[in-house]
Amino acid sequence: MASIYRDIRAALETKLAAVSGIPAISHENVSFDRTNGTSYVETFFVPQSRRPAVRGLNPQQRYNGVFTVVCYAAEGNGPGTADELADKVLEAFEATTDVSYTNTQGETFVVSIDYAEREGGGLDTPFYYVPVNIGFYIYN
Amino acid sequence: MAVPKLKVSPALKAKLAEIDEMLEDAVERKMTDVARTVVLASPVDTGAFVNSWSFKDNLGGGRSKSSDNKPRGRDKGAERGKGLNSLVNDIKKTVEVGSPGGSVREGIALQAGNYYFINRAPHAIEVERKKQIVDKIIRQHGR
Repeated sequence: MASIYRDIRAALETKLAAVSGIPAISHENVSFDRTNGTSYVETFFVPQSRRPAVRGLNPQQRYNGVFTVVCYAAEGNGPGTADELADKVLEAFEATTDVSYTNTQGETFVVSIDYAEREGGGLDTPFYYVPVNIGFYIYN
Repeated sequence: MAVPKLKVSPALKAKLAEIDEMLEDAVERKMTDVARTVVLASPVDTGAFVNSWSFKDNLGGGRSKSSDNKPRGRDKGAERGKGLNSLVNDIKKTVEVGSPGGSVREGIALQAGNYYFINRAPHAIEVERKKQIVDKIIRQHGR
């Protein structure tokens, strides 16, 4: 059975792009020039495990992983802007909700959100950032 | 005196293997969380420093990339993504089968339980002195 990582990534990235008020998104392996003083978010898709969900032949697989959205805002203006962005991401990917996505072949995937939590902020001059980690799983 | 042989039923063996796998997954998850903080806390100019992180179960060897003659002002997201991928691959390998040893060289090391995040870039100590990366990671994840 082929893996579905591409569809999982697409589901999560499409959902993020649709969140109202989210600024430019820096996707993995796509050149991105950040502009000083302009907020943006950066994504990292980290698959963690792909395990048979049951014993026996041809089992369904359970995929686990983390989708990280790092919210960047200008340094020196307080944490408010990055915090607000992080809140928007947290609300959009609330734990126990599902993200549905239909690919170009017409197959629909429902990615479940296991948890969504933020980390403490940090400085990456000239930006201040707040990472939000979204744990996901899907059976396929 | 003969030592009695203990027979383990296949069902129990399978259960134990499952528990083992669950524990490995939990450790991998926690270490991946730390890895994410490690790359986000790492400054990026040539990408040599962020790509010199390794995850190991011993202090020997590890990646060491020099910034000499490398173009500066690299894409921060791309370099951090590369660094994170290397660490996630290291974590899977190390937790499941262990990591090779090697000579202990200068650099910085952060202990996380029975494992280590190591950076052997030639300029690692200088970067750490300026940016206190280890402190940032400990502040986020504890000792």
